[in-house]
Amino acid sequence: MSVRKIIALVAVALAAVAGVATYTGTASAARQGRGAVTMTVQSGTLDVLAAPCGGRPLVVDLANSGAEGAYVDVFITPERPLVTSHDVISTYVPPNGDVALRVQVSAPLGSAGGTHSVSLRLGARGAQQQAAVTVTPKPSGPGANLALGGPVSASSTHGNFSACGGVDGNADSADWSTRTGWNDGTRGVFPDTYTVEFGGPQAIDRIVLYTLDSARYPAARNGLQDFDVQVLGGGEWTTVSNVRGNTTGRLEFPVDPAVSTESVRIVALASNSADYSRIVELEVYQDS
Amino acid sequence: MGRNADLGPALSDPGRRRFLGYSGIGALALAFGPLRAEPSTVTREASRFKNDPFSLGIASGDPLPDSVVLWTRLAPEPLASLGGMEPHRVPVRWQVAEDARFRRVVRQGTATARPEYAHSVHVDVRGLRPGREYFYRFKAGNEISPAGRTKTAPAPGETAKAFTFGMVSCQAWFDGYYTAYGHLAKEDLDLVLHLGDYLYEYGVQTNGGRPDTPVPGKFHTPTVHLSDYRDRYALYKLDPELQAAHAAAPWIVTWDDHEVVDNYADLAHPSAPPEDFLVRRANAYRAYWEHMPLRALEPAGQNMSLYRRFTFGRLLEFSVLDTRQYRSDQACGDGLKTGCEQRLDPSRTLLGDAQEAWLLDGLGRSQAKWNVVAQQMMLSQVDFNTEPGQAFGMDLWDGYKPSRDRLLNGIVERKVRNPIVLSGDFHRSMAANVKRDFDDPASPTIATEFLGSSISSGMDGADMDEFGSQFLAANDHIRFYNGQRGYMTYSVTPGALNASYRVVPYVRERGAPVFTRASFAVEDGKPGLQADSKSAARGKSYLSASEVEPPEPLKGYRK
Repeated sequence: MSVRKIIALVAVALAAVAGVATYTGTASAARQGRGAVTMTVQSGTLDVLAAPCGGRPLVVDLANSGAEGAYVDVFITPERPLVTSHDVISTYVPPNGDVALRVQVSAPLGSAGGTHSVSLRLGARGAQQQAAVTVTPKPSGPGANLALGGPVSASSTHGNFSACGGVDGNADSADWSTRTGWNDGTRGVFPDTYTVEFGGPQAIDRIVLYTLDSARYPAARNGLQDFDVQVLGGGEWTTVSNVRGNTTGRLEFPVDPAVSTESVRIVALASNSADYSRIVELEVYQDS
Repeated sequence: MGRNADLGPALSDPGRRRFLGYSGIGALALAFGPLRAEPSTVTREASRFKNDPFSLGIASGDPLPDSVVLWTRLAPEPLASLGGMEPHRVPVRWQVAEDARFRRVVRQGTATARPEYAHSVHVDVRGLRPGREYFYRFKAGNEISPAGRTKTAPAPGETAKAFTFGMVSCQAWFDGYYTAYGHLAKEDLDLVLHLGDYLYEYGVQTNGGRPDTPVPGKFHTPTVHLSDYRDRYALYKLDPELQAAHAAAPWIVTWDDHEVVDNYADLAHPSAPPEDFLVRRANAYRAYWEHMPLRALEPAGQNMSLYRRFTFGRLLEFSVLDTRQYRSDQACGDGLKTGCEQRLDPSRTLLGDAQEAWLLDGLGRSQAKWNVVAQQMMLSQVDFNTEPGQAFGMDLWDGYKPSRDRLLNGIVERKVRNPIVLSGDFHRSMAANVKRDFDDPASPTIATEFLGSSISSGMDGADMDEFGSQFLAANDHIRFYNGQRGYMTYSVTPGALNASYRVVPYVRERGAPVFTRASFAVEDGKPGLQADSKSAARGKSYLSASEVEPPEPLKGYRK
């Protein structure tokens, strides 16, 4: 590639101070000291589960001590096997204000346990800061919730939700739509399916489903009404239980005798509000 | 058009003044722009890109008698961060010609794609002739963009014999295909108006309305940061039918709420206190500017002036409004309300005092035969309740009744010639006689309103639905309703304005045909819908309220 340098305009002063990188725009002497942004990465170690939905947010604080607003770029580089939601986050930082960024950090299914780092820079050539992340392998064996962290998929997902919301370990309906839950994306259209996979056959003996049920959104008004619980074996779905006219929030389905399956799904046929299917948490256990 | 054609050396022409004039602003942007920590903010001639740098298409807009703004953004990897561009400046050459083969080039120059603006380019080409068709293209390195067609406004004082324009709004990518844009691009139009909701802040799910187009995980969450909004614009602008519509005519754009977030009002939104919300608004406004063919300079911080006026000789004048940035918070907690007293509070405003004064002053001074107020929200009263006790959408003009009364009284007092109100937002088509007092059937009609439906938002819809039958029953001044997707075209002459509702029967599958569902005429000097013709419905004929996506005023987050 033929690259021709035409103008080199700006030199930038850069100071790195004990984990905090400081930038001061110096393109114009008259503006020196204004619009200075510093980046602080949250201290402590972040724990993530090695599963598609096992990630956690890393909080990065940007503080502008200057009297001018600034637009900044944060460049994010995870160490393997870590994965981050973004490689660049750009944002405005108001004068004498600060902005908290959340970078989702995760590790792929099957990653070994261990501690790794995520590197962050303020600006493409900024000083590097590190955040430590501990990876925990997905639990298995007696008493383990095999659904925790996924992988999970859905027939559709509403734009304000994530399919991960139903296998994130948070079964509290009070956190609905702000921190947890899955809501399908096709209003008034059924069936909807919500499917968790185990990456291979697992003997399971109990399934627990939490549909939306809070003081504000009671199950009798907003929860799943009619649905089938199915397990996959030899390429065929087998119905373990079919529920009709449900009005409760937590439903438990013993599987006796235990079956070997690589996937469990909920086939939602109707909801009490007739619009959307809503699942707060799906749990699948073995040897429980 | 062949690649690797030489566009020739950059000329010093009036169109470059914008870039020369930028040197001061450029210095400021370098001091405070996103890449000021980059030690070598150099301009590099890039001769090769990993992929087509013009993947997001081209556009033109804000036409004046001697000028149009040309736009593009270099993004060889459109869904990657920063469009896959390195953080240095890249020169981008441009040409404007009188012919589609670029044999008669009349203006050309070199602009600079800057990393702090996501390598977007805005060229304000001056020195053009009025009322003329032009063709334009860009070149970066050895890559040449597709050619676009544009048109300047007629000369001041001239009364054009005819003028045609299109009107669009509300293009939720995840709700369906942009089939309507494909048809719009084939219409012969002098101008396209976009009335907002070009982009939606909602997460785009892989299995949503376009199952054949999977998107990376970063699109699954709502837009908050500047980088989120940039990436989302890139996703939307990758659509070839949207690109074709931009390439077909100059656009005049304004925003509604979803370019930032559903139903925000100035700095008020339930998601965050104002001191935090202003960061999101600043990010959204900046990204909007970067991706639209706007003459305005780039915004710095949470404010951006967008309302403006365009005059097309003596025939037509557009007052383009911003009904989001300056409005009072929605009355009575937003949503659909009956008996809300706060909506009658005269100290509340939809336009803000400065914009309201500017609008009325401009309408009073206009020399144009047709005076078009191009804005977002249904202006006419929409009573959602067929029972006694009116129910109004608090996000609409109904939620700001004194603001509407001041506008309508101002139109009457100033004897504004042929006032026409254009609106979007609703995901429905309606035509209405604008009454001085909507609750008095004997009240005179003082203007005519055309509410245009969405390009895709709301999915397929139906010709009539439960909402529409209620609106028609409860609001005598609303004379037409359709609940499907599409756009509008207008043909304007000194004697009449003709409006056509162009409808596609479905958007969840590709390839729908387009048909004219209804046409209305407004005659010079006679406000109101004077004549109409309607063709047969196609697609779904009727859906109950539970089977159809609700109109936009009933959707989304409720406070």
